[in-house]
Amino acid sequence: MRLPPQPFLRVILLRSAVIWIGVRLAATVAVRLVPELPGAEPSPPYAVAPPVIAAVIILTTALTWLDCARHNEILFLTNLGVSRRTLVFFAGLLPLLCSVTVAVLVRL
Amino acid sequence: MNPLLAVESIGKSFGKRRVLTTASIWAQSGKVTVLLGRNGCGKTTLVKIAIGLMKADYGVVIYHGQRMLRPRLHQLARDGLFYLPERNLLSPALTIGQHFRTVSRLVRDSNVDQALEMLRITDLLDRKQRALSGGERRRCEVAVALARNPRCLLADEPYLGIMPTDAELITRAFRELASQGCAVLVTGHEVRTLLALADEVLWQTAGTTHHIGTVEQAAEHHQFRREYLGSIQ
Repeated sequence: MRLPPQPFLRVILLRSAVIWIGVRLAATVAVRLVPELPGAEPSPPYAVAPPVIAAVIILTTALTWLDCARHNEILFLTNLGVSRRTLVFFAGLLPLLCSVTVAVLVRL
Repeated sequence: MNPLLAVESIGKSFGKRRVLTTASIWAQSGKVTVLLGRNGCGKTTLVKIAIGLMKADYGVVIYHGQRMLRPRLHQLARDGLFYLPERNLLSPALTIGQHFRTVSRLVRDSNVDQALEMLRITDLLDRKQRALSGGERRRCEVAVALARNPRCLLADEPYLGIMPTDAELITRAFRELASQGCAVLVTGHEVRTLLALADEVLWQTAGTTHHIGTVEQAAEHHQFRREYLGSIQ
């Protein structure tokens, strides 16, 4: 597997982190707006259901990919032999780690 | 003729609009092949199909003896192909120098110093592409292609909207690549510049391509002169 070198990797990871913060906050607000069922146990603040977590990761990865394509980084790196699969992996890596970390922390 | 890259009998439609019917292009080692054709005739589409950025309805791509129905750019790139798009190769988030450091990190036999010198961009390395003029940006993009030291270069409209002095440097770079054995394919409209560069001429019209031959043969090709060159000699 040919990896994207440091300056490109930093840009991709930073971008995915910023996008993840935005998407995760939006998801949290959206979930809070939905009224809880009567009699249901109140969930901890900032907690979202696993399907929402998965949706946040997928949406963040897709938005990061689109932003990298808009900034020509995908074309530049694939032109140097880095596969699209590798780039998708790095676009989704930080959202996955952050989502899992937050999910664990809010449940503690 | 044994081309390094051959894109054969390509057909492509966008909805009901048929852009390509039986278009073919090829690039031979050590030669510069020029693809001419009017605006919107499908040159960029054909090049994008050649590198897998677009899917053909039918046809085949043969690179380095390997037949591919759906090529992938990263696989072609690992085998020495470089695609220079019409615009937007460089990231606006990074400096020009960071792009060249990336090339030297990913490509073992890269040729960065020669590329920087030949395209005269040594003093632009600390800048980002937004701070460059169109011609400087184009020189940087061509320098990346040269630095990558490709076996095959596909350059889509590299002379679009640049000064004659920049065009001269770019022509020198393409000729240098061809002299090192690279198969160069260039598309565009700048007839005088492109014919001065070409070893072989292809003409794309009405969804198909015609092999015109050498520049001398192109000048004598009746239909090509009448329908494309006009009064240009």
